[in-house]
This record gives sequence, structure tokens and C-alpha cells, in this order.
Amino acid sequence: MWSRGAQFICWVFAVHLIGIWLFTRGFLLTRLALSEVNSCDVSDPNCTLSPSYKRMVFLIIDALRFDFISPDPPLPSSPYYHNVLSLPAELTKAQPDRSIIYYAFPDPPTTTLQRIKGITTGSLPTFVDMGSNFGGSSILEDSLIRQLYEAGKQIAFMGDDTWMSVFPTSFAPNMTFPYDSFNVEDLHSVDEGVIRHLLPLLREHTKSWDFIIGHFLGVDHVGHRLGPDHPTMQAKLQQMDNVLRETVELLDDDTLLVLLGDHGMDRKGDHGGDGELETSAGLWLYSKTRPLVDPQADIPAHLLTNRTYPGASTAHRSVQQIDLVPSLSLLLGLPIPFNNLGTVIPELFWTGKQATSFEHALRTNAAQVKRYLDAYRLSPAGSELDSAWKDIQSAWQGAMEGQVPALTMNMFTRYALEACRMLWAQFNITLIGLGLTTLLSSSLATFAVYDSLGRIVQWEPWLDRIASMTLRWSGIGTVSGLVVAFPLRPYVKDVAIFDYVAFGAAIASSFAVIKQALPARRLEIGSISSIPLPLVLHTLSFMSNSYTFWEDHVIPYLLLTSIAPFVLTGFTAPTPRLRTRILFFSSLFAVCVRLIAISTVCREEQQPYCHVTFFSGSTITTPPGLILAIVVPIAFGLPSAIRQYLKISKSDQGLANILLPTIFPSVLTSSSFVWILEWMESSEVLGPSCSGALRLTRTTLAWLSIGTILVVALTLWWLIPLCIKVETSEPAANERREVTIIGFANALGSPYLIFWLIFFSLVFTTTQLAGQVILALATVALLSFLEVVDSVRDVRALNLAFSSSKPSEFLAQSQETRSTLSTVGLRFSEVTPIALLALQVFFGTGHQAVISTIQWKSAFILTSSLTYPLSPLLVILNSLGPVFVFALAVPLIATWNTPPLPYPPSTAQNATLRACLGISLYFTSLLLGSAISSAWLRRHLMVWKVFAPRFMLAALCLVAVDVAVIVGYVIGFGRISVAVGRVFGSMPGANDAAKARKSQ
Amino acid sequence: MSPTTQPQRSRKSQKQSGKEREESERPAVQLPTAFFPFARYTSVVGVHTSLIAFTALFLPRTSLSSLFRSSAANGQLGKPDDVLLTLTENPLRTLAWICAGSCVLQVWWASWLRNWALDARAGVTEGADDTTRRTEQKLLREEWNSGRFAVGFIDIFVRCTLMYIVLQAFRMACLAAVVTSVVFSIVIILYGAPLNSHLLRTYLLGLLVALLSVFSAAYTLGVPSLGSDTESLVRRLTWIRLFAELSPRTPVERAILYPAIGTVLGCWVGAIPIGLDWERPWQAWPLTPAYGAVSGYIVGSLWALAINGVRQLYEIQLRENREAASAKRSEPQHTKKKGT
Repeated sequence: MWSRGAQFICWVFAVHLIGIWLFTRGFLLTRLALSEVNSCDVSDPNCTLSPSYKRMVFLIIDALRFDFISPDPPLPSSPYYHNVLSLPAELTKAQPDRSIIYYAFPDPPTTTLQRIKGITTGSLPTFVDMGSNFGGSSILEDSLIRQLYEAGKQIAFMGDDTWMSVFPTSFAPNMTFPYDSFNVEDLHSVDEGVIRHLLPLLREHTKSWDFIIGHFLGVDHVGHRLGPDHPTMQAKLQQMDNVLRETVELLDDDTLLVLLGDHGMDRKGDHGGDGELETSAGLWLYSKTRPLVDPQADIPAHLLTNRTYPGASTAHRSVQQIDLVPSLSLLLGLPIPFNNLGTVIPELFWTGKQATSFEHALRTNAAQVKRYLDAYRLSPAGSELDSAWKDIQSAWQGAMEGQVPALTMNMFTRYALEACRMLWAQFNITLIGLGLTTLLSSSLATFAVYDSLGRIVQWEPWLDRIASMTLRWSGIGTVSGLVVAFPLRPYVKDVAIFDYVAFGAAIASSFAVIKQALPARRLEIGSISSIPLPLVLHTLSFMSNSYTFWEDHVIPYLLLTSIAPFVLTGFTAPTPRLRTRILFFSSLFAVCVRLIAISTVCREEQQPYCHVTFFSGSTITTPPGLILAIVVPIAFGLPSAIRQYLKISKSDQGLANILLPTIFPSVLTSSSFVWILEWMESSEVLGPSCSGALRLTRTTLAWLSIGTILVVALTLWWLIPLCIKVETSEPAANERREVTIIGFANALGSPYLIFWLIFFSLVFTTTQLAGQVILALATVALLSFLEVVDSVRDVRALNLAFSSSKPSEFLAQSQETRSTLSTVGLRFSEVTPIALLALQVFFGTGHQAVISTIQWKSAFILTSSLTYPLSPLLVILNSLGPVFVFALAVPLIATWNTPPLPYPPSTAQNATLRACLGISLYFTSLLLGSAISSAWLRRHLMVWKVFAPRFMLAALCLVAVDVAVIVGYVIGFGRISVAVGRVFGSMPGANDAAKARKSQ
Repeated sequence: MSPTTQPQRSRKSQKQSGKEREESERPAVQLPTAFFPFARYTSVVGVHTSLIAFTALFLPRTSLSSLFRSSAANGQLGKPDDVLLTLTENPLRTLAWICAGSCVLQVWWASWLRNWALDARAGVTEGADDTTRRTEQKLLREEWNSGRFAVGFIDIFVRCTLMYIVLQAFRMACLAAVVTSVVFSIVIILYGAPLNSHLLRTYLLGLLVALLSVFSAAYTLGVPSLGSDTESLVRRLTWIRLFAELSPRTPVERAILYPAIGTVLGCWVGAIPIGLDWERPWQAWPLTPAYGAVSGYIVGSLWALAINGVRQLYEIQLRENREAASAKRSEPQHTKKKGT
């Protein structure tokens, strides 16, 4: 009978997975970043060309759209941004051999970080560049900057500090001037900083630099904040024009000036996606005295591509933005970066009628591209190239054997670029839509079932019908997905057969469930007040970048809000005992929540309003001194605190009496010592000589505690889960024997708590010291909340009894009547605090919704080197463990202080199932909110920094919650009911139950 | 709750109408209700809410130094940007001004409420002259009429006693406001206010919420205590009914409860805009919750006025209908009565 609800929960999980899979495939583009470096010998003619320029000034005006510098802007021209930055057009007109303007195509995603990677590596960065190191956003691939650095060139840098996160160590320290890039409100300070440092460097007589990077942000910020059609834009571009005039003034013969926009901007001034205006960037090359291009050059037309800017009268010479990378590398006499996919720009190498120099450049270029593709093909992600590989090979063949090498090699590099672009660089709106639809319909279906289960008294057969229906309709959906797939495939891009099938199965079964469950539901006016306000606010908050990155502060606010109704009920409690209990435990809960909220590792957007408290400083990762002092007593004392809670219902018997006094304190304490030793080892408190011994001790301790939990505690729980004690009094003569069961009232909840503690201890072991304190506080909060919920249900039941005309009759009634269910049964408002607490603990244990806060340290608690699959498992346990564990606690709301009789405990099972569905629903809603916002705002400045990481976290959390719910419901609750059945199953009827309750 | 309260109320109004019928021999004024001076209530709410708004928007701009500055600067002060600037440049000063202003206003408002509540308890009708019609004074006048003491002496004694009672209530209400201000500050910190900085600002916000929500209730209803005598039990139950069950029964209770709810909700909502990264001066802690609380108070007050008005009209309608019906029915009886 336990498979009943489990089947439905598993269906929910499967549909969630399908939704996440579809959305992710459409939204998150992945690519493997190869870390090889092109380290060929510069003197080798196949490696590079001899340098044409000694130095280079590389200026980026963020979001400089092509029409801002175009000599032929579209009509009607705008007074704010057309012909304002006019220097490039003037010089090109006056000196066509020394100045050239290109219409550059930057690859989407058109966000600054991705574009910086693009214009330095020559590849097509996607959001997730997978590689050997997930950690920072620092670049893993070979790049122009790296080649410069390895050639011993001095690189000066000023401007947007995104460069610093990509190239933390490459720039000359005394010539590095980063400025904060995400303060969109500030239009001028970055630009003024760049100007302040750029011009003095240019004026130097003995040039101490070889390469200057200047990244202006003002134009971009004006675009984001005010839009392009604004007088400020004109002033800004005017300022840029003046800077350029001064720069040109100060250039010497050996220096090439490169000016480019890293991407364009749309009509509102935003960027990030693949719109035509966003992918229109300006590019200008200027050489002061030496000719840059040969006007006599006779370049075949097929090598020169043209593109018409929207609204412009004529087409303009256009290049791919990444073409800069091989071109500049060769002009500086450097090897082309290993990952480059760009092609050299012909004009820069073609002299006279002879194409020798250009052919040489192109051959070097093509060979490098081929090397890269071969390496990618051999990498773990090589199968991505499957479909294109044959054509790439034949193009390469053609390039080698072609009669006109310039033509065929150019074709090869272009084909390679196109093939890779198809693989890596496009949002798939269809898949995004399918994913969102799946998630939405699945959450509607879950809600319908959740709601119906709370109303239907005979719910078991009903749920059976639903479960078999999900199976049947999944089958139907699979078939219809297949049927639809074949005619649609030619028209819809990049949607695989599997996608159709999965979507069909998910959507068909969801709608079948909705249709089946909906008639049981009546929309009432009263249901307006039951709208879960915290959930609605939480979901909506993902539409704003501020609330998303301040989520760790939003959650305590929502959590306290969600507990407020319980406090109000507490005041109305009819007995002083209930009132005191509710008020005391809610206060305890609130205080714990507030204390958890103190602990944080700040994310960079929260600066300067945030102080790191999880560690003892923002740049060091040692635990704060206070934590070191209190963590061991807390770890040791936590089990006895839990025991106090069990004592309230006298259920500190049986298994609890075995595990809580001995096993759990020793396990938790040794977990704390594991991390204390880790701190001693890394901060060398005892000197470096001890580190070997410390390492050995902590590895042993960690193995011991995890082993004890998994072997001893889990086995004991499986064998004797119940926390009850049976006392038999000697029968007096002629009387029946009297059996007293101590711990009866909480016979379902207490074993589940022990079960929960086993998983809690696992997570506790993988959590750093400050996080362990947080976990302990959260446990106290959880147990307090359980007491609050229990007391509030008592209050409701009492009030119901008082208001009914015959209280005694009411009390005698079966527990399963409709009115009882709706009064004292599970409510969504009881699930909300648990869901919020789970996320609160996630943030409190030193995590944030950014990849950089993953605590890699935890991978090494069991082994000193990276071991598969142990190390990743530990990191997952450390990161998602808090969410998993507190989702696992959700059946406690349904089982806490629930007596096991009448057997089978159908009401408790119903409530457990609903609690599981409820928390899954909460996290689905969060996932939907974050997915919709990141899909909707995919052009937003911060989509890859704020929204997409939050979506990834939401997806991972939902998976963790679903797994937790399945484990909790099937294994935890299932095993306990079997054990309860063995003890109480033979007891006949409810009268005995009442008797047992009395003698509790 | 409503099913249990309904019969009581109708019984009460029946009683009233009975009383009125006796008085209805007096021709001129048609009294709206016996227990609540609705017209005066309306005007007092109007004045009170406008003054509260004034306190929040204008009072903080009168810093002591700007009082001495000549009015020449006033022209500049009128611009909205400058208004915002003066309100936001020192949140502590703004909060202190709002607290001071609302303290005065709440005392004034609460004294009205208290009078109405006492009137309602004593059953004084609105039609009577309204100079010194308070319960205590009515009692005193009776004593005076009995002529046991010299007039002047009694007057002083009476006034002293009266003063004492009022002062006692006032003192308790102040105490309640101070205690709850601390409680509110703690709650605000629990909700996420900074723990180790801005404590004075947080406290002032707590004080403001306490002044707006608790003070008038404590002054009007009395401070609840844990005593076991009947009076404190009734008082405690009244507080629980009002602030935990949120079910007021009389117009005065509504005038107390709705603004209090509005204050708390407004303060809660006011915390939300702080999170936005707009970097505006008005996002400084705790300006938005304070202004949220004040606007919530005003909205709640007007809402109470609206509800009370509607109920008033409804009751008049009800009574008229009933009177018409009973008049029809009792027509023969009436004559009969006259006959006897």
C-alpha cells in the first residue's frame, strides 16, 4: 500500500526532470573550454608572422554600436548618437590607407564577460564554459592576453573590472586600474578613471608598456539607464570623441590603435541576447603614420563580406568580431590563441596584387583552427561535433588541395565557425517554451492533487486512479509525441525526437491529472485568504535582480511573516498551557531564524552593505573565533536538546534512548573536530610539521563518523525504528493484564525524527564549522516549529469542539470527517516555513546563488586527493544538503505528535503525502519564477550574473527536494508504518486506542 | 464570530429603539444612534489624519536651525527634490520629529476615543449638550447636587480625582507604549533590521509603530494585565478579541483596531522597497517602513471611518424599517394604551 503515494510522487519528480531538461537545453548553452595553449616557436614561419607593430592601444567603448561611428548612419539620423563620435569617420575619409572602419558582428550572448572572453580567445563563449575548474570566472583558455604575457610584454589595464576576474594576474601591477562595473547608476567614474590613467601612459617618452587595454563603460550605462535617445548619450559620445582625438594626437609610429564596441545595444539601450542591433558593434583600426592597408590591393570580392545596418542606405564592410584575434596576434608577431575560430582580416595582410603575405597568414590561421577542432573532437565533449565532423573534414581536405588557397582556406575557417556557432551559441526559444509549459502544467497538476487529497475522504482508491492514469496518459503522450515529431521536425530547429516524446508524455499526463482532480475542487471566496503570500512574494522576487541577490535577507523576512499567523492563533488559545507553548516556541523559532540570518558569505553585488560573517574575514576562509569556541559544545549538546523535545511527548524511549545519548553526540562532535583539525592544518597553528598527522587524524575521524551514521545508526533504525516503551503491569487477580505504551502519542513522529537525524548528521559532517552551528540552530528552529504547529492544531480542534453544539459528540467522531480534516489537517501555511527554512539554512551555511561560493574544501574531508565519485558527492552534500535535509523534514509536520491508531494511519499518510507534495510545489513555484524571469530577461545586463545562476540553483534545489521527499515518504514513512503495524496492527479498534492514549 | 455577535447587537439596538421610542415624543432632532457621535467622529478623524500626514511630511523639515533661517529660503524648499532632501538627509531627525508629532496627536486622538468609549459605556446620548458630559463628571454632579460639601472644595476634589484617574490611565498608556515600543523594536530586528548598527533608528521606528497602534488602545481600553479578577479578565479578553482575533464590535473598537492593523501592515510593506538597488536617499533605514506605517495608519483610520459610516447607515435603515413595521403593528396597541 505504500507504493500508492510513492507512484504519484515519482511521477511528479519525472515530470520536473523533463521540464528542467527541456528548459535547460534551450537556455543554458554549454561548451567545453580546452586549456591547451598555442606554444609554438615564434621564429617558426608556420607559427606566426613577423611583427608589424610594436605596441597596441586597445580601447573598448562598451556597447559602441556600429552606427555610432558609422560614416553613413541610418536615416533619419539621431542628434544624440549619430555623427557625434565622428573622429573615425573623419580620419577614414582623410586617410583611407591608415584608418579603416568595420561593421563587426559580436556573437551572442552579448554580455560583457562573454564578449571579453570572445575578443581575447577568438572562441564563442557560452554561459557555462565547462572546464577543469568551476571556481572563479577566470579564463581557462589560451588568449591574446596570455600570449602577450608569455611573450614578456607589459600589459596596462584600466576600466571595467570584469577584466580582472577574467585575467586576475596577467596585467602589470603598477599599470592596473580596475573600476566597479555593475553600478549602472554611475555614468562617469569608470570613464574618468580610464582617461586619468590612459593619457599619461601615452605621453610617456620611454614606453613602459606594450599593450594598453582601456575599457570605457559610460556609453553602456547611459544606454541601460537612460536609453540611447537622451542628451546624456550625446555628451558621453562627445567625451569619447575628445578622448580619441587626444589619443590619436599622442600615438607614435609603432603603435596601432584599435577601438571597438564589445557589443551593440537594442533600441532601449539593453543587450545580452542576439538581436540585430545588439550584434552590431563598431570596430575601428588606425595607424598614425604607417599605411595600414594597401589601397592598391586587389582583393577578390568573395573575401570581403558586406552587411547593411538596419536603415542605412548602403552596405558596409563587415567582419566577425573574433576575426580581430588572429589578425592582431599576427600583426604583433604572436602565435594565434589555441581556441581561436576567427579568420584573419584580408586587408590588413594583403599587399599589392600578390597575396603571399595574406596566404601565409591564412595558412597559419587555418592550421590553428584545425588543430583546435581536432583537440575538441578528442575531448570528452567531442561527440557534439558528430553531425558536422564529416563536412569539416572534407572542407579541410578542400583547403589543403584547393587551387586557390586563399579561397578554400577561408571557406574552411568560416565553415568551422558556423558549425561551432550552431552548436554553442543560440537560445532555443522552442525548447524554453516547452520546458516552461511542462513545469507549469506539472505544478498545476500537483496542486490539483494536493488540494483534492485534502478534501476527499476516501482518498486511497482515488489516488490509485490518478496514479494509473499518469501511467496510461504518459504512454499516450509518448506515442503522440512521436507522431507529431516526424512532420514537425523539418520546421522546428534543434528539437530532438526525445524532446517531443518527453514533452508529450509529461504534458498529456499532467492534463489528465488536472482534468481528473479539478472537479473535486471548488473555488471559494474564502480561498483568497489562503493564498500563500510568502510563496507569491518569493516567486515574484526573482523578477528583480535586487531581490534575487538579496535573497538571503528576503527569506528571514518572509519566514517571520509566515510564522505570524501562528502567533496570532497563539494569543487566542483557550488554555494558558497552549498559549505559553505557542508563544514560547514561536519566539524561539524567530530567534533561531534571526541568528541563522547573521551568517553569510556575501556575494559581490551585495557590497558594500554586507560583511562576511561565515568566515572571519572577506578574504580568508578560516572560521570566526567565536564559532571555534562554541562549536564543540553545540555539537555535543544538540542531541540532548533534541531529547528534551522528545521528552515533551514522552517519546525519548526505545531507539531514541539508544542513539541520542551516545551515538549522535559522538558523531556530531567528531564531525566538528574534523573541521577544527582542518582549520589547524590549513592555518598551521601547530606549525607545518604536524600537518601530516592532522590530515591523517581528520580523515580517520571523518570516516568514523560517516561510517557510524551509515552503518550503526541506519541499521539500528531499520531494525527497531520505534521510540516507544511497553510496560506490562502484573495483572491482579481476575483482571486483564494492563499494557502501558510510553511514547504512544508521538509514535509516528519520533522514529521519523531519528531517521531524519541520520541524514542530518551526514550533512553536518560535510559542513564547515560556522555552518555546523547554523545547522544546530536550524534543528532547534525546526523542532520548535513542530511544537507550534502541534499546539496550533490543538487550538483549532478545541475551538471547533467548543463551537459545535455537542462537544462530546464531536470528540467521539471519527478523525476522518471532512470538517476535522479542514480544521486540524495539514495546511500549506505549515509547509511554507519549512521550505523557507531550508533555503535560509542554505544561505546560512555559507552558500549563495553563485557558482563561486561552492565550498570545494568539503570534497577532501574523506580523502586527501580528488576521488571519484566520493569527492563530488561530498560537495553536493555540502551544497544541496541543507535543502535536502530540511525538505526531508517535511513529513514531520504531518507525523509529529500523531498517534499511530487507528491502524493503518490513513490520515497521517494522507497528511504526509500532502506535505511532500506541498514542499515540492513550493520549490517548483520558485523554479518557475526564476526560469520565467531568466528567460524573459535574457537580454538583461545581469542575466548571466544573477538570474541564470538563481535558475540553476532553483533547478538543483527542486531535484534535491524531490529526492528528499521520495526518500522520506517511501523509506522513512514506509518503514515506520510497517513497524507501527507490527506493534499496533493487531489492536482492535479505536476504543483501545483511547485507552492507550489515556495511559500514556 | 459574527453569528454570536449578531444577536447581541440586535438586542442592544432593540433596547435602544425602545428607549428612543420613549423619547420620541420630543419632536425636533432625529438621533442617528444612541451611543456614537458619528458627526464629531468624522470631523475628528479628518483633522487627525491630516495632522498625521502633516507630521510625516512637513514637521521633519522644521529643523531648529531652519526655524531661524529667513523665509527667503522657503521658495527653494518648495521644490519636490528639496523636500525629499530635507526629509532624507538625516533619517534619525526625521523619525524623531514624526515620533514627537504623532505622540502629541495620539494623546489628543486617544482622549477623544476614551471619551466616546466612556460615553458609550455610560449610555450618554449625543443629543445632550456636549461640554463636560463624561461619566465621571456626571457622577460628580450627582454628588454635588446632594449638597454635602462646600461647592469650591468639592469642585477641587472632584477635579483632582478626575485628574488622577485620567493621569493614571495616561501613565499606564504611556507605559504600555514604551514597553511595546521595545517589543516592536525586537520584532523589527527579528524581521531583519541590523543587529549591531542603526539601533536608535530601529528603536524610533518601534516607538512610532507603538504610538500609532498601541497607545490609543491602551488609553481607551486600559492596559491588559495578568490578574485574575473579572475586570482584568474582561480587559484581556477584549485585547485578545481585538488584536488576535481581529474582530471589533463597536465603532470605537474599529477606530482603534483598523489604524493599528494599517500601521503594522504599512510598516511591513514599507520594508520591501529597501531591497531595491536604486541607491536613493529615501531608501535609508528606516524611512520607508516609517512612512509605510504612517500611511497605513491613515488608510486604516479612513477605512474605519468608512466601515463605521456604512454600519451606521445600515443600522439607521434597519431601525427605520423596524420602527415602520412596529408602528404599523402597534398602531391599535398604541391607542389602546392611550385609552388606558
